Amino acid sequence: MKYFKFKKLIKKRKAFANIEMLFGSFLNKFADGDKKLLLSFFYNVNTVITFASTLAPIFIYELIYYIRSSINPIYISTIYFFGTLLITEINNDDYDPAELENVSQWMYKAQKNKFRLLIIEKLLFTFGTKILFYCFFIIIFMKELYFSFISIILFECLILLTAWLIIVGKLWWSNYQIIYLFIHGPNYAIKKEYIIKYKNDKQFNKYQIALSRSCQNRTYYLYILFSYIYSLASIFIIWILNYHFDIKKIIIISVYSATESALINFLSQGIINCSKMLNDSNLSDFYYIKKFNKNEFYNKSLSKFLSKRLLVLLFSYYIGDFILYGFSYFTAIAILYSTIIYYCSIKIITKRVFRFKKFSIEDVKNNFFVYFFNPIEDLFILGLPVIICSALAVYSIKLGSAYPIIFFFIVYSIFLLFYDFLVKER
Amino acid sequence: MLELINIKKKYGESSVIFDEIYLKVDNTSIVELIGKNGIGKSTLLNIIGGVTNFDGEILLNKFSLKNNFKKYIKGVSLIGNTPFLYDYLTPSETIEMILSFINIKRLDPSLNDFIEEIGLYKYKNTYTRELSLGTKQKLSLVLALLTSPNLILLDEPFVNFDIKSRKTTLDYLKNYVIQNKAILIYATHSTDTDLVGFSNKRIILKKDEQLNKVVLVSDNCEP
Repeated sequence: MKYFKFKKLIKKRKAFANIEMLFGSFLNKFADGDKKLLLSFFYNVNTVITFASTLAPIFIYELIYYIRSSINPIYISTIYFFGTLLITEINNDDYDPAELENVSQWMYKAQKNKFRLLIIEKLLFTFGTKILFYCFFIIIFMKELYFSFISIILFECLILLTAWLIIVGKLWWSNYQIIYLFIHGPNYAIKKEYIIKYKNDKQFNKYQIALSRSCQNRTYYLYILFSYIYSLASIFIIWILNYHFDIKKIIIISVYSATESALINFLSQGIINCSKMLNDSNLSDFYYIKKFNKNEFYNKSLSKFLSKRLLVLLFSYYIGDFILYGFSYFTAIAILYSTIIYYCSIKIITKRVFRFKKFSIEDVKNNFFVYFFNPIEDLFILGLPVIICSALAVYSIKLGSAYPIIFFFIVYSIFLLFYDFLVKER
Repeated sequence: MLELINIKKKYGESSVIFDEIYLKVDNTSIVELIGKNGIGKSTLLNIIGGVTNFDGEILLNKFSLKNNFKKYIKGVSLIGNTPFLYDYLTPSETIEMILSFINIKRLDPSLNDFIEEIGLYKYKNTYTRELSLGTKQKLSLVLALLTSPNLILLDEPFVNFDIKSRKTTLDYLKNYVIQNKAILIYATHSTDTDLVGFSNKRIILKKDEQLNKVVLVSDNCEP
């Protein structure tokens, strides 16, 4: 099918355009020939990273294999597998409903409906390797634990069925148009009308009202559900680990605190991406921000909006800290740094949405994801605690004190404050 | 022949757009659809194009939209207000991809000539995202004609065309309709002199204040 050949071409061209836009000021310092070489280099790095991320499950399963004596590898790998299925993105360009509706219409006209095959191929590209690696490693793990051949086959069938249900459930929830096109084709004459009944939301400015309305979709509610599930589950797990297992508090608090900025990053980006308004109105935002110098207003409106929506996370951190350390000065400090990390993380992400200063209208046009995309900040600023939390926990255990953890998070929250203050616009 | 039988369309629970719309359009017809902003021209085209739901029945050459959608849609091409195009494909690549979807190996020679005449050929290697609005509309029109449809539905099609391209397009479409015994329905606000005498039928959508609903006035409208 030529579709995939052209989709590959589109992805490559888009990646080149995105790299050129992201690193424009740096690349423009070079001559045209060198610029092309650098672009190709960045593109190849991007391709290698994408390929490596596809192979990442192999390393995880191998790690699980090596520590199988201290954990149950079947449980851990199954939790990891379903976790990756759940967080795999299906709201991206590959599953754009407008595009797929268009493709479906063309294919329907050909009277040979290859659209279903196309969707199945797309899903296999997205989830295929994840399922394959899991199935392969689970055979090894189960054989190690002396499961019979029949048990392994039955277990794998059960897992495949569950994985299929999760994928269909994900599509149904956040991309139900694709399920409709898969079953009925582009025949909207028989489709039940879906009417959006916008809820009135207590907001103080018109922009926030519009923002709130544009977010009232299934993907948004899924992210909000994630935040509630995480909040409740984390409190429950901390309570269980603290009172029923002999796990050091130092390990729990370092891992728990480290997840905050990364989690807020994940949820905020998810909510921002699912807002039709932020995606589609970036040209008008660009115009108003430039004409009326309203950057501050837009940033504040969006950060207030996100802060309110994710408040449950902050409270869960308060409760988690309290469960671990009760009424103590440690709890007070943990609450303080959790609050700073919470607000600063949101403000840092918000600033990316309206960073129009460097960009022209052509750059901004249909390129929401590009200027919003900042992997270096994701990894080394907001993801920093996750990267070093294990080393931090080990060091604290060696010292027999939680002070290194407190010190690190105090320094990190001050760093975020300065980072947010100093980096006005990137 | 296109037949609209007792078409009713409403949004939500109470907001009725159309009620009891009947229309018959013979083959080899060019129909101009006019009416005020928001009266429902695009909605009517979307209904006929099968991209929105409705009550009633639509038949194209006896094929029912609801009961025989596959055969109905084979002969229909709709170009809406915002046609979907791939930003990072050139017009020639887009055409090649769509031809692969519809299992056609080569472009029809007359369509090839049309592409050249409307000035799309010189942009064949330019990314679609870099094309002007008018050129994008030209590309959409070419894509709509790839399947040799019996019914072409165009929503405000010529607003961004330059005078020469518009004239060429109108001539091409007129010949196409005659040669293929097709039906062309286009919604417009344009009072351009080029469009005078182009259509052989006119449908006016207007609000009947007494009945509080949109009615359709046409020379072959049968109640």
